[in-house]
Amino acid sequence: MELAKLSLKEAITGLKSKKFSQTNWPKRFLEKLRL
Amino acid sequence: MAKAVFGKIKTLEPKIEAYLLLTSDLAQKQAEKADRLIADGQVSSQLTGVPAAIKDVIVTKGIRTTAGSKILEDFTPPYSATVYEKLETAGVVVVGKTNLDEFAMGASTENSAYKITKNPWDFSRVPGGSSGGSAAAVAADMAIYSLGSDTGGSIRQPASFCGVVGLKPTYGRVSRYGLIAMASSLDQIGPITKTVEDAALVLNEIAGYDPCDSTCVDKESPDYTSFLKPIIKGAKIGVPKEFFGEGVDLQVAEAIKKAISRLESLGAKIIEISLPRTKEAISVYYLIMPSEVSANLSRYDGIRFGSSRDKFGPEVKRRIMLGTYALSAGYYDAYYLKAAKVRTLISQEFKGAFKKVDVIVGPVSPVLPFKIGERVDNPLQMYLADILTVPVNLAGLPGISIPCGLVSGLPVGLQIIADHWQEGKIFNVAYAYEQNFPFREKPKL
Repeated sequence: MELAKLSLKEAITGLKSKKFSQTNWPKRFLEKLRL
Repeated sequence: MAKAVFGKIKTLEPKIEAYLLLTSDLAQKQAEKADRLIADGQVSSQLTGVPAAIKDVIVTKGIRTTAGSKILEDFTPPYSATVYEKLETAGVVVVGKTNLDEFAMGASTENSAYKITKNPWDFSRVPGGSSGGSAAAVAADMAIYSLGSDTGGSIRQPASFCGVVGLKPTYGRVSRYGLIAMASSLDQIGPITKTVEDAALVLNEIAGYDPCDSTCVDKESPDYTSFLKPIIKGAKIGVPKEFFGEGVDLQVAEAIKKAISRLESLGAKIIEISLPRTKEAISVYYLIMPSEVSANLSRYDGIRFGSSRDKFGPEVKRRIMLGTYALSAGYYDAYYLKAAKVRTLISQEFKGAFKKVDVIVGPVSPVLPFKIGERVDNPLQMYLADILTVPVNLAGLPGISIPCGLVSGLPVGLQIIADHWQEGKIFNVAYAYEQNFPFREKPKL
């Protein structure tokens, strides 16, 4: 899927799922554990 | 995503010419900032990190803003429009400033002092106007969404011509602070998007009271996505017989009638209505709008913005002269005042109609996208392109254009109009149509 062809809604979903699921959830999860 | 959009721009911009300015350095910084916000879980808006284009009549601090005019060729605004500030706060990635008819005066971008934007569906045709650059950029995937402005149809008509969604909100719903004024009682900023849902998402972000704009109404904006329901059973949809009268292309009329039948098949009740003042709307509009133009553009006096008035294009000069004449002593009562009275009648006529129906539907443009150069020497013919959109501005109502089909390979837009502050009803009907009869065609680029 070409990123430029995404609708805004698809872009929102894509950005969130990509960033949160692949990279940042573990980091945030670990930070929460430390707390 | 910003890289992907700039990739499209690299390939397509030389052919389409949708942009007056590309802001790739700024976009990169904004994208990196958005990445950090997303990574840190600090996102406050759904729009964070999504690349957007801004019509070059909306002032952007530190970014050249020309309004498509040579008179503002070197103008870098010292402040930002409220809508742009809102998007900046949301974490927008600005791709660039889009082309338009000079000071938003036109229906084709042919009045731009810089370039003519091409319709992505057929490069020999206009994209509509005045937000032609904004609509073409979205249609060609050179922006995920864009902002336009609509004074007499300047969001809806280019959206119709380019096969995308364009919403003109109720007058007073979105702040005009920082929108370079053309006709202050008619102008309104709105989104141009790929889907109806996207329009609701952008409106959620830009709507709301702004003390910097005295005409912006202090009224709560609902969550527009809550109206996105695919069911319209029982909705009362008015079809004005005047919207299919003389001058409306038969193929366009057929496409709209098919769309209306589809709405009926979803359970909507179709009611024929009459808006007899429609025929007067163009005359009224072309008195009120130039009168406001002549007042608004007097600030370009050759001193404050540094450029000579010789730099105004012919259409701008024409409208300043028409307006100055209509407002001049001895003619004011006969022209401006009379037009203002008929404007009230047009507004009352809509009010009467909305006692009987939830929304009104019809074509956006009476014709298909026309060839570049076809109408440029005939201002009157060009003005007639606005005949079905200007009544909405005169009454201050919200209206949307959604793509409803192709005729001879060119998109046709269905216009849906609601009463003041009833954008929700528009979103309901537009979303139901889109979900049940999706427009999947894309320009072959």
